[in-house]
Amino acid sequence: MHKILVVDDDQSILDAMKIALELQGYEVETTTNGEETFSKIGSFKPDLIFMDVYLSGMDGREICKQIKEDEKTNHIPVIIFSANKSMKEVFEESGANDFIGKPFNMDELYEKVKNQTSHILY
Amino acid sequence: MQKVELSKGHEQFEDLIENASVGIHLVDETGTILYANKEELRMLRYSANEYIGHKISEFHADQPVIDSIISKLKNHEQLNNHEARLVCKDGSIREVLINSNVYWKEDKFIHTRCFTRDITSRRKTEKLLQFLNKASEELTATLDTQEALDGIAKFIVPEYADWFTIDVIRNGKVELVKMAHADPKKISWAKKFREKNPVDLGDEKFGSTGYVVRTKEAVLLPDIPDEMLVASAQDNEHLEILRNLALRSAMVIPMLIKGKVLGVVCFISCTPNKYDESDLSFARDFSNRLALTLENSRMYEEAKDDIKRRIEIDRAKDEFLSMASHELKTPVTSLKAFTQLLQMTFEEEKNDKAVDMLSKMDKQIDKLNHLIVDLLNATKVDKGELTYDFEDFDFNKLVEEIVEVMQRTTQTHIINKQLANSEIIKGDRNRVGQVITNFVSNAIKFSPNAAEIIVQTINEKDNVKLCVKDYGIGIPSDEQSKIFTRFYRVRGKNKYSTFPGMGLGLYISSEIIKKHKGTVGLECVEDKGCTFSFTLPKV
Repeated sequence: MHKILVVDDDQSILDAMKIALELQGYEVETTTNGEETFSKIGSFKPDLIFMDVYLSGMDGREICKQIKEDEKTNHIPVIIFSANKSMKEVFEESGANDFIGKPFNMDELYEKVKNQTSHILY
Repeated sequence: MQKVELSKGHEQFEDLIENASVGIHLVDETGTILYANKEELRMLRYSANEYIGHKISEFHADQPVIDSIISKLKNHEQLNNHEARLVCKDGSIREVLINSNVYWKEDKFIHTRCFTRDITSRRKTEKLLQFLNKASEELTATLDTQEALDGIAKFIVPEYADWFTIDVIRNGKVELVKMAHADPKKISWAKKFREKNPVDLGDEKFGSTGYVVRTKEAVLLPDIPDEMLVASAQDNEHLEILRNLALRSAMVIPMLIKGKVLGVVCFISCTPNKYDESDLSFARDFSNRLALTLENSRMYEEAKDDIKRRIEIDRAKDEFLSMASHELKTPVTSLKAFTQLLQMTFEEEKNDKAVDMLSKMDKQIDKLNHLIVDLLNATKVDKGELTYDFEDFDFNKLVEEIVEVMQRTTQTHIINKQLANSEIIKGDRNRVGQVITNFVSNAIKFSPNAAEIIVQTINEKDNVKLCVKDYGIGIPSDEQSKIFTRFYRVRGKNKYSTFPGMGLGLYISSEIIKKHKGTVGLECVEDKGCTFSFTLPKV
């Protein structure tokens, strides 16, 4: 069972993501606190991270960069998601594996999750 | 009294010369004045005794000039309008033109025949006009008012005045904008003095700034009497200072704009009788021009501040729109996610009715999202922040894709394609698609009673052209030019009937096409419909 960590400062979006991903059989943890990302990585050991850009008091791109710069965590794929449409830059800047715009279609979401997790075998 | 003998029987001639309106004198070989008529004595303010019998050179301000005059005359030359400066009894100078030649008798120098015309006031008028022109030049040469005032002060002081001040009244307070004197030390002293003794607008004494402001009258003080100093002095120390300044002649002029006093200009000279009525009329003209310039400069500054304020408001508005559209997207995101989740749930339960309703709801959420995106894009277009990804793509293929998607969204219209041979163009495929979508959805929106839209591509020499034709309400010709501007919205026939939308779509579209070095166009017949088009350069 693949584990997905979703980081977003809006609880309602987290609720929706949790339901949507659990419907597909993924194990999901969420947090609105950007700083919690690293402790969650340690305890939950996610196979994929969804990272919002504008977190209260923190920049999702920075967190993503840190994940990608650390040898212990850089194997974890990160999907940046943002309401800002000029996301290609966001995506390239932060070293994320993929990006998805807000609002999104469920089909698109599932497709992107599958792309990032299909190679991880249990 | 020495007087040359005039032939008897010529009394009329004697009378003519004595009472002529031009100054006449005769000088002998040694330069001694033999005769001077009334006008000459009046002009220079001497009595006959003080003038006749004296050397003519005593009355010339410039020694070389009279030396040259005498030597020319002795040389049998005729003087025509020869310029000279004569000294009056009170020490003042008259500028004159001299016409003269010599009465020779058997090669003997008998006397000169010298006619003297006073041109002092003409010269002065010329000089003042020159001042006025120079002042106008200075005032129009620069937008920097202080620089212009400095330039003006340089030719006023010390030639025309020893002290020159310009005071402006702002919010009932007197503000010194210029003070000039040849000696910088005196300026700093005077400024300090003014700080200690500020100008009192309530001062009612004749000639004071307060008096001029209140009466709006220009004041000429040809010769300032000591009593006036005594009257205006606040105390003995003040009087002492005023006396030491030796101010003798002054003009205090209001600067008037539309009958309102903008300020006061003051010329002060240490020479008595420096200023007369001709100076006053110059000073009035001068002050009015100054007033106009100061007023223009004030309005210019105000306009600049206003523009700055508008830019600031605009920036705040853009920031707000950008922030608002971002904030709006967050609830739209979860709204859309939950709607789709519900749809999935009802699909599983095979509740078609609920699925159908939720699918309609989902479309409306997309619409809402598009409006939000337009808001954000409009602010980005304004700031030039809209990003573009240029690539080569097949133009017709994009048109076909968009038409297919748009056809699915409308049950009221058939979208007919008339496509030319396909061309590859370079551009941002998504943004160009956004423009086509905008044109087609407008065509549908503004032709509620029609059933057809025509989408046409045309190959021109250097461009591809896309036309979207509708059979709708059309756009009045006087409004067609405004249609691509921000927040423009089409009005229906009735003044109050408008069509939905924020007036951003065509604005964003035209900006996108501009970025692609293309042009947008509109052909329109009211009540018959419109054709919106754009061109894009071929690769």
